[in-house]
Amino acid sequence: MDKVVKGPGNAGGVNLHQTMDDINSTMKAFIDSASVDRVYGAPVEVGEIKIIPAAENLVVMGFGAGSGYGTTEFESDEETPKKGDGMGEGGGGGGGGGGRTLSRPVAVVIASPEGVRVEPVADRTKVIMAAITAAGFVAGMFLRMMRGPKSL
Amino acid sequence: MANSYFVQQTSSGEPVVVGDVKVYPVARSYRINFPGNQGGILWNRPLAVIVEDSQGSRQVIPVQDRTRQLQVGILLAGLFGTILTWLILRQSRSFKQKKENTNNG
Repeated sequence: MDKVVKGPGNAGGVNLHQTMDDINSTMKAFIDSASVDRVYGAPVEVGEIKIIPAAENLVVMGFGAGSGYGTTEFESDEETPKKGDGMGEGGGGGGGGGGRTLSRPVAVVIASPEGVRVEPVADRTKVIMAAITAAGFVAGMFLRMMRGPKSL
Repeated sequence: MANSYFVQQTSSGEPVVVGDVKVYPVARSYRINFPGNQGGILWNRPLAVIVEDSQGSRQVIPVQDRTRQLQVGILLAGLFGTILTWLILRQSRSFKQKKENTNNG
């Protein structure tokens, strides 16, 4: 993906090329992060037992880049060139981006010589928040219905 | 690089050996690529573990997301409760209206 915009004199080309390289390398890292290693942690040994933590993660990222180039020509109508006559050119490029990663534990895998079991991890705060949201929604709807239909 | 806008991928990792058994972690990822290769959304989650014993027989143990199950359950219960309340109130109003009409007429 060598989308490098270059005008005469290469104005703006270097910056955009660098930006596109950064974007490509970040996108490659983003795609590579879809692997099992990002979900399961390194096993923790406790005697004969091995504990493997498991988590889910969400990665959101976005980029943008752009460049511009322009020339201008100024020439007076007179035959003899005057001060200020000539041609100018300029350009520029740049880019930016942002992202966020969210991660939370889901379960632990407990492997022992007796057997393997998966113990789920419940996030109490998230569950309580969901309960408060649902209760607030039900209460709000109930109060609204108790008031009856709006009269015109 | 990114060929499709939506990619679903299931991958298995290196086994963890405990005694005679091997534990293979399995994960699933969902990826949404933004047009023009300008970013995306990636969701990685554990799917299951495959337990292989010394005789080669395999057992799949799913990894359940208890937090998500509870969240979805509570929100669905809230939605169901709201619909139920609405139906009860509607029936009650309809009954009251009929009673008033009977008394007036």
